[in-house]
Amino acid sequence: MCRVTDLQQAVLAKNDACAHALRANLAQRGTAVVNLLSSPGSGKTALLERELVLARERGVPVVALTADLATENDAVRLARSGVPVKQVLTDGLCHLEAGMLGSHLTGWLPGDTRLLFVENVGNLVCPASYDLGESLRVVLASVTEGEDKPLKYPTAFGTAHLVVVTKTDIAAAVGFDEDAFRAHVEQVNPGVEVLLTSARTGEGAGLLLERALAAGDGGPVHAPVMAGPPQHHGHDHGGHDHHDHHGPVAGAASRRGAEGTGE
Amino acid sequence: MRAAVPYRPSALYRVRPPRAAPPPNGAHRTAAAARLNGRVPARPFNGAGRTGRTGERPMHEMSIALAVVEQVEQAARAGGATGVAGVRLRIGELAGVVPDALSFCFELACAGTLLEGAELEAEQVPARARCGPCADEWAVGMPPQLCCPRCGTAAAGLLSGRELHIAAVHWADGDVPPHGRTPGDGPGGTGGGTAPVPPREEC
Repeated sequence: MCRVTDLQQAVLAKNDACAHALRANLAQRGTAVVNLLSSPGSGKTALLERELVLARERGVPVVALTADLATENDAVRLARSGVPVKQVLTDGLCHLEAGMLGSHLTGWLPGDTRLLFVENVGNLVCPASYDLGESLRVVLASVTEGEDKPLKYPTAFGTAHLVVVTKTDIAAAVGFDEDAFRAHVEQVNPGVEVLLTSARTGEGAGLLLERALAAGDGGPVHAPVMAGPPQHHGHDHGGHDHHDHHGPVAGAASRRGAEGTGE
Repeated sequence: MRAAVPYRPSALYRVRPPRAAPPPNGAHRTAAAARLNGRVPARPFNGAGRTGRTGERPMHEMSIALAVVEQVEQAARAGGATGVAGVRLRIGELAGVVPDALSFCFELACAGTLLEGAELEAEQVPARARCGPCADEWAVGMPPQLCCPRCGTAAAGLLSGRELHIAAVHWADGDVPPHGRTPGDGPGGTGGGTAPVPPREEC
């Protein structure tokens, strides 16, 4: 007969611990991370490019790190904004993890950075499981992707602090039902804000930047039902402050604010 | 307006930058990943990229399987165990993990380790939520309904459903179990007597 030991360890405890350490380290230097998640082709890069231009025009020190399986095309596009940009090539890996992100920031992240935008690998499944130490998790969906996208990818939409609809300039042409989309978002993440944007027409320009700056300054951030509060799971935390589940913790930005942003 | 920073293209910004040196104790944290070299399919499960390189993990179930193997190996070393018969995981309905995919990856991740041949038992945990105002509790289902079906208020929180835990390890016959709770301590526990989490390596 086998003997059994109850471990009660969170499988992603290491990533959660890395994310927590990264969040704390960046908070000390006044930097907040914005994690952008979406399907491939939903318009992350176009929206981010526009927001980076606005940030630079307003003198806000921001940088961007973009992850793709291959090519540096996104970095080249984002760099047109004039802000520091780094491309991470994942060679097939479908998501970023906190430790990886931290290693890529070493020696690169400018000291005065206020916001670090991370354009995650285009994928709504795997990246949703990994907290990157972000203060704001943003999930994007374009109007062409179907109003039921939040129901098909509940973990990604359910753990988001902010939902952004992109490509609204073609909403009428593709018959996008905004009310249905909002209802589906509400089902999996009640209370989360939904922004409407179009990188082409400029609708919603600057809103993402404003929300990110507010979160970075320790302002109130939406607390997704799916992301908290911490549940009991009966294992030794070993002194770290991870949550029961993976994904961002509700109120991470508030906690970051409490730690001091230096702003 | 801040000064523009020109982009310097570099193909060197890979997921894993070159490491300076392996840790002196030789317990490299990707040891399990290294043993996978050459054992993964010719194409990754998501159909993209290359495989076969040390530590490459094409989908997140593989990352999770490797994390399980690593943690169980650490617990085994801590207690002097030499074999693992099985591992029981608790996987919440909203954990974002596909049990079948995880089982497939687990077998690959165990190859050449203390866990080789170990069985994976995945205990699926239904997701349940609670309403603050009316104290209703409900199974959220899939896709989840996180507004109260009785009063329509946003759920006050999840009671279960986001678990992704190593619940128990079945050590092979003759092994001394690591110092930790035994089944007689009851499921879940109260925080006391749990197996110590092995020291984490720096991020």
